[in-house]
Amino acid sequence: MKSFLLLTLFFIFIIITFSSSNSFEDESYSEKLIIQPFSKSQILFNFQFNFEVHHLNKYHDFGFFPNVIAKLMQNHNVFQFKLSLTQGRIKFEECSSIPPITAPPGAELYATFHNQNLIQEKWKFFVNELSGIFCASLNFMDETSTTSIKNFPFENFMATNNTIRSQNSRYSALHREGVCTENLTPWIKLLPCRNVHGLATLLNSEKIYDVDYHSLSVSSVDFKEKMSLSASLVFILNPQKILSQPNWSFSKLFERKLMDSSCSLAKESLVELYLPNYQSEEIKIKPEPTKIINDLNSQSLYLYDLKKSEFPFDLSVKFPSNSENILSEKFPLKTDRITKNLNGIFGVIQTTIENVSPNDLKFIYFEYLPWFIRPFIHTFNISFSNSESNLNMNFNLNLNQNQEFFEIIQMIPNTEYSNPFTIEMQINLPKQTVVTLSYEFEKSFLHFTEYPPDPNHGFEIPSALITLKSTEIHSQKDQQNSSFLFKENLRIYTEGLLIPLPVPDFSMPYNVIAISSTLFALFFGSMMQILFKRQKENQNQNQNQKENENENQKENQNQNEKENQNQNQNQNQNQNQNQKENQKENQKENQKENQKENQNENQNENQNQKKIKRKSKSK
Amino acid sequence: MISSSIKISLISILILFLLNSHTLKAKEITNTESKITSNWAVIVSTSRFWFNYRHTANALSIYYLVKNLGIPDSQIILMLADDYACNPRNKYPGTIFNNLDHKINLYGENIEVDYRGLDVSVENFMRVLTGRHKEEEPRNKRLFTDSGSNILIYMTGHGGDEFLKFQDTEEITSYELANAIEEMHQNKRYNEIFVMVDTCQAATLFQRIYSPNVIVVGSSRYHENSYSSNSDSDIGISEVDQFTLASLNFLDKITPGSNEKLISLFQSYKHAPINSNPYWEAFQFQRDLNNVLITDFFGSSSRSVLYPKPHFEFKPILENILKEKKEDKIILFEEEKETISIQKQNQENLENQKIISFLLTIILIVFIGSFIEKKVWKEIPK
Repeated sequence: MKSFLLLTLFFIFIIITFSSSNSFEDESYSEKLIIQPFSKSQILFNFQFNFEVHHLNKYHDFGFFPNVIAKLMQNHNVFQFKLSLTQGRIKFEECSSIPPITAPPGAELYATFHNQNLIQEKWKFFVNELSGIFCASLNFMDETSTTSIKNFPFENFMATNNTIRSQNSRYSALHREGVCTENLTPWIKLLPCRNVHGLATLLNSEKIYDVDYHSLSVSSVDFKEKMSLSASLVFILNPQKILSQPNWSFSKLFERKLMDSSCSLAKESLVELYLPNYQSEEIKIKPEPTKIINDLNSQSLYLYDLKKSEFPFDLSVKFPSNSENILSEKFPLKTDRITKNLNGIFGVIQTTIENVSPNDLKFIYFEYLPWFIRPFIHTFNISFSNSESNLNMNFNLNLNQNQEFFEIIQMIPNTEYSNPFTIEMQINLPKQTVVTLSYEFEKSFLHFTEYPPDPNHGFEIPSALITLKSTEIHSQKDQQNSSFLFKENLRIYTEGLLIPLPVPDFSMPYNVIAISSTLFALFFGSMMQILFKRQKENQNQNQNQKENENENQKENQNQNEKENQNQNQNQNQNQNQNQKENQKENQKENQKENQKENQNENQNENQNQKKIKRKSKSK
Repeated sequence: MISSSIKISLISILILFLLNSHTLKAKEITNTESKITSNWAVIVSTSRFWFNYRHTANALSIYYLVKNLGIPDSQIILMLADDYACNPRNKYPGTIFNNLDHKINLYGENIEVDYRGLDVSVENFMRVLTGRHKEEEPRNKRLFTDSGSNILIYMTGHGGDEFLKFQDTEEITSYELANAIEEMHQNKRYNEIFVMVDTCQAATLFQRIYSPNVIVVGSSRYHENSYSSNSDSDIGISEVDQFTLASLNFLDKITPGSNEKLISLFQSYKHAPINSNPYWEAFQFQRDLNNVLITDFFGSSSRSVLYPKPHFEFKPILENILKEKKEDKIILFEEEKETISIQKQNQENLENQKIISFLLTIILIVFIGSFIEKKVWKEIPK
């Protein structure tokens, strides 16, 4: 028996170990920190945490893949989504290298669903649940501020069925949504090592919000049999501003360093530091990198493998004096978006995009306006101008489309209280050319209760999105030479707009109540007075008549009274006489009675005396 | 002489009766204790705009305190009407302080704000209390309380006579608050509620409450203002309100297992630092207020009550086999035992009372009889 038990135990042990090892191998997790110069004095920090599940088992249980996200996607039939929460705006025109992940200010959410049925309903539940997970007010991404993009801007996930899935997509942005520690907390909870081990220990909430640009994002894909998730945190800071010197280190910037070890669950844990090419003696970098790759398009890469390096790990960079992070590379596009107020109700929105690069560019322009901004499509004007070649062309949307320059992919007119206005078009912009899109719009009046608590601040319109396909840029040059590190499409966001809507006088209802009630009171009062005054007058007349009558009566009465008085006096005299007589009689009677009483008393006394005598005798 | 003796006996009888009934009542009260199965907190800062920094600091101080005393984030609903930590006007991003020396960052590293910005509205507050949420509302925005839950409701903002302003546009009135609590009572969503409000004329907000087991405390009375404190020249704004600061000074000493009573918190309020007269009241509170602990509301106690109560439990089979005893051991649950013993005590008490009352009535009858004999009986023959 004992041997049998032991055998079974052994088998169970084997099964458990095998199954656990399998599930562990099915999942992979890697963390990476990319540090690169961004502009003259700014540095970009990009924390990337990638999860992958290669084979989903029947029970959907995971080793360290965040269960919340997996359940969320499975429950709402989401194929993929990308959420970003951002504070600040990347000034693309200033940057010397393109940030790997760009996002508009505020919140942006893009999602595609596996199939098309009940998408609106699913989106509603999905957005609410996501807002619950990340402590953001994403629940304002309701039907009225959600639209769809046909041309998928986040290409890296797209493997198959591009056209089908573009119909199942939903896009929404909240320009005003903030990002702060309460969003970072749940984001860190997705990581298997939290902020206890690994690169996430550097994320000191008191330091990473004191930066120029901060963007938190989560994106995930569910291929049914496998899943992937990438959580990333990008921020751009200026060491000159924070430390008042260009030399920086982890401990100085974050007041933290990597103490114990890297996250042991991570398959790889890397720190990539990109710097302009320097002579190795000029620049002092501590600790020694595991690998140096020079001549990478005027940049050199210092690579650290945290699995092999020593701890505590505190990366510090000391630049030679009088050095600047200037890169020769220029950003291909310049954008500008403005709004003009024609009068209180009408306005103009104008977007200019300039191709600064030496090549022709093909990109997709996407823009959506909330329903209360009503654009006039007949005023749509697209003009191309080039000062060098004297190119000057104007197009209206009404005319036959000129496919040489632009092509409209989709346009959805807005409807009140339901869907926003959306326009998506492909623009072929020749080199050194400026394209200007402009249209007039009308502002609509909202209901009294629909205004936010600070309506005079204005209403924020989300940024327009320009998508440059990765192939578009990479075809220009060899991939190795490119300083652009992105592998997905390059997305450029314009400025958001702030449009003041006509604001009612919010004390109006009270004024209306006050005025209308006073009017009512005046009307009612006067009516009442008029109605009742007549009666009163009648009454007064009657009363006067009566009074007159009364006066007559009174005179009569007075006369009568005088007569009566005389009579009374006589009577009184008589009465007095009678009284006197009566008194006399009474006195006589009283005297008699008193006499009788006295007699009785005397008798009693006598009796008492007799009694006492008897008693004394008896004694 | 006779009359005086009767008087004494009557008084003594009365005293005996009173004593007996009083002891019974005291026992009943002690029986109703330890009903709390979970602790929840709803912490609301209703004010918007930068100059109301202190209201968020108030709310976050209470959040910080309650979390330290053991209520988990999943059982705290935190509503902050504006973002102050990452506000561009905040000199120290990611922080909110309530102390001039900036020692404790109330925003911390680990914070979960459930309702923020425009989500903080009277409608959502009422939905949280009454549980009438929209279908799509996520779990962390809901208050999953039951008849065993003790709830701490803390509200701060600008208020007036019978109202508290939300977001500078709308307000919650005393009637709405009272009705929400009553609805919670009728739906058995709470065991006891402790409402703490720091606004001007806070006491007026409680005027309409009519539900049982509610304790309220407000920073000021009718026609009184509540004042701010800790004016920080570094951030350029007042950091906290006087009443909340006074409460925090007392509550900071509390540890999760402390036996400090809630009443001593109320007694600690003095007019001198607060500049207003805090007002407190208990509405139909069924426990003795002197037994209510601070940790009954500010701390976390999670007990499980089996329902329906099991009558008995069989011992595990393996144990029986190992011990080779075939006796079915019936183990009464301790609570069951307690309840039975209490019932027995009550029954005994009742019997005793019956006997005593019977004896007393006999004595009374005898006394009255003798009295009648002496006063009335003798005069009848004449």
